[in-house]
Amino acid sequence: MTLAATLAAQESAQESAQESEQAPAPAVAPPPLVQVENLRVRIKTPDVDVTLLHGLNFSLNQGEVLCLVGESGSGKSITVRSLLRLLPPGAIVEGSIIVDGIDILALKPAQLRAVRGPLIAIAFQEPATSFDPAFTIGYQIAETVRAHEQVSWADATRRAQDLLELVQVPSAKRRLDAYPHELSGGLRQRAMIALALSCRPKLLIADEPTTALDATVQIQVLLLLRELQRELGMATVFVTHDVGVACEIADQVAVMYSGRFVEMGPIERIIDAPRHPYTAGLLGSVVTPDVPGARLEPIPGAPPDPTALPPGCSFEPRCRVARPACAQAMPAFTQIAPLHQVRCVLAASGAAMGDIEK
Amino acid sequence: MTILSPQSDYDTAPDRGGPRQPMLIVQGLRKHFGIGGGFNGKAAVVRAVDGVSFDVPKNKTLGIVGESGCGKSTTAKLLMQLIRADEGEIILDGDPVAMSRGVSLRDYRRSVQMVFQDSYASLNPRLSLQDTVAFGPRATGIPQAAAMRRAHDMLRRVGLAPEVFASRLPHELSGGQRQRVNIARALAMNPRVLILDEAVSALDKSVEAQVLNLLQDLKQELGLTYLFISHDLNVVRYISDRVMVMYLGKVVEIGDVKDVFDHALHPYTRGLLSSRPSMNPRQRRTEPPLSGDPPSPIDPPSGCRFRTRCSFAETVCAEREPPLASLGLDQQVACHAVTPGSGHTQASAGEGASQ
Repeated sequence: MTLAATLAAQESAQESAQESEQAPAPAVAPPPLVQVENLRVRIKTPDVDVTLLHGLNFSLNQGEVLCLVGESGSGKSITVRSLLRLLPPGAIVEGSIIVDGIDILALKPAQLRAVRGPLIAIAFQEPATSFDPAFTIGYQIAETVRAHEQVSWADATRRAQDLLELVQVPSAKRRLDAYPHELSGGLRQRAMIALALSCRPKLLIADEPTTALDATVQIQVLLLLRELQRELGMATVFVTHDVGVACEIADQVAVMYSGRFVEMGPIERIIDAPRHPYTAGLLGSVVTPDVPGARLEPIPGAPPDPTALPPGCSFEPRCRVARPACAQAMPAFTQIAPLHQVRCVLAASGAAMGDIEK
Repeated sequence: MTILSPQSDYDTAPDRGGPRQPMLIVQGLRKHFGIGGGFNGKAAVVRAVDGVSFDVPKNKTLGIVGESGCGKSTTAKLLMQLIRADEGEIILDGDPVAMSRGVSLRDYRRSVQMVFQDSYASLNPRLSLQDTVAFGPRATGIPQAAAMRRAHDMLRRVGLAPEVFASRLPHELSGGQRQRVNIARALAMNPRVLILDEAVSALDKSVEAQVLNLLQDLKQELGLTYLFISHDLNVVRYISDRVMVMYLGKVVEIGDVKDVFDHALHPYTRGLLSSRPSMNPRQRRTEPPLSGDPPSPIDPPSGCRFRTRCSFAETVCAEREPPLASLGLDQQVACHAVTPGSGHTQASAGEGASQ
């Protein structure tokens, strides 16, 4: 845990400053680490022209975890990839993304390379395909360190070993010489996280990092991420389709549907009192241990095609409580309580989900 | 079952053994895969499935759970006869399979069908949905027109209107719709047993719930028996009547789903169950219930295979392999710590109830 100690020491100055500010007077909060405004992503190639994100706004403080929850195609991965500008050719990104005072969308390629790693790092869902199969784990981590810092191979390798120990890979020294295929899924994902942490990022993006893992290993990796995130004071954007995973790790949750946030708020509020019908439906579809045999209440239908969105609220065709007005115009993202925003005319009018459903 | 094809050879095989005869009895199923042994490698065997026995009552669902590499899918493929078992016996409704005087492999395969996890990879991209579903019936000699009629019936039954979907191709469907086609294709053979190998795992939660409801309905309507393999314990709890927990090619616990989930006896089952996310952000897990990964099935630990990750492991666990012993009415468990007279310090010395 030597690296953790050094990293923690580095961060301690910032942390103590943050704590002293947070505890007595939250009024003078530090500027958020991540500030995303009106983020729009459109893919335009000769074959397709589709808008995938329709104006996202969010901010994230140091040490906070924001979970993006939604189903396939809702735009979760596009959102986090645009933070790193890892988008397919033909993507047009509008809006602004400010991370630690840096305007990500204005960076030139060389500057972007310098930012990827030390400022923002990402751990992908499939570590098996994210590592190069032809090089050892140790080499790939050390290579990343050397790309960003003026250190010798020996020092970089030592740092790689520290990182593997930090993410609790057993016999880390031996694993430095392991090729990706020689590790189990859980160990590969830990190595992936070590790689992401190798340049001490301020913002860690985790794109479904535990989806491919067994439940027993998933909980290990989630606990590890939570511990690291607290220890290193990183901000984390965590993408998942599993509400259970969000419950374990999130401070804030943003529920996505068809390229928009439909509900955002603290995890406890979202779980206890979801206000958007989609959020409620999503929670209702999760098979929990309490309901053996009872009939599930899935959301009917499927998400709309992003090239042919309905004119009004994009959830309206599947919504059980839709009103005629819902098909007319997209509802605004309205604040209904401190930190709690909902994109639904019914929720915004003040009615609770229970009252609306008949 | 009036909606099904009138072809007599497509009616469900008669219920030969009566309602109390288990639909499937599996005895001592074993499959070892040889690896290495080539130029300079040392030959080794992966003990993928190592003496698995269980039975599945009629019109019930047996859930099979365990971590990756525990032999769930190999068991499914062995049951489906996609790979040949080294040892072991399968008895379908009282008749041994692929033996003289038993049910022929051809009839067995018609009675047992399978749905795979990857809905896209398991469909032929160039066959329309009606051709896909009609393929099995056609291959067994049903005339084209009757097979098509049957395909349309099946598509309608899984919630895909044939007027809309019959001539579509797999890439035009969503994941949930494709999985419905796979279910329709399996049902087109009029099977008695359906093996669902992680059939809902790749689906989004809201779609997963739709497909689970569909499976429940079909089971009732068609009197099917399911083997439901999944790593999602909540889903298994939801859909199963009995559950079997596997670890490194062995059954460690099997029993009524309520008993196993509410009173798990094997330390592995308990670890697996408490690895589920809490669904309560105010009561987060603080300690991982199980550490590390399962050891390699190439050279599994001696005695009890779980002992390397078990907090109750003692010397007896390394010396002797715990047998699958009946505890309680309908619950069997392979653990020295809960088996009376095993020599484990936590076990009671002689006969009598444990725990």
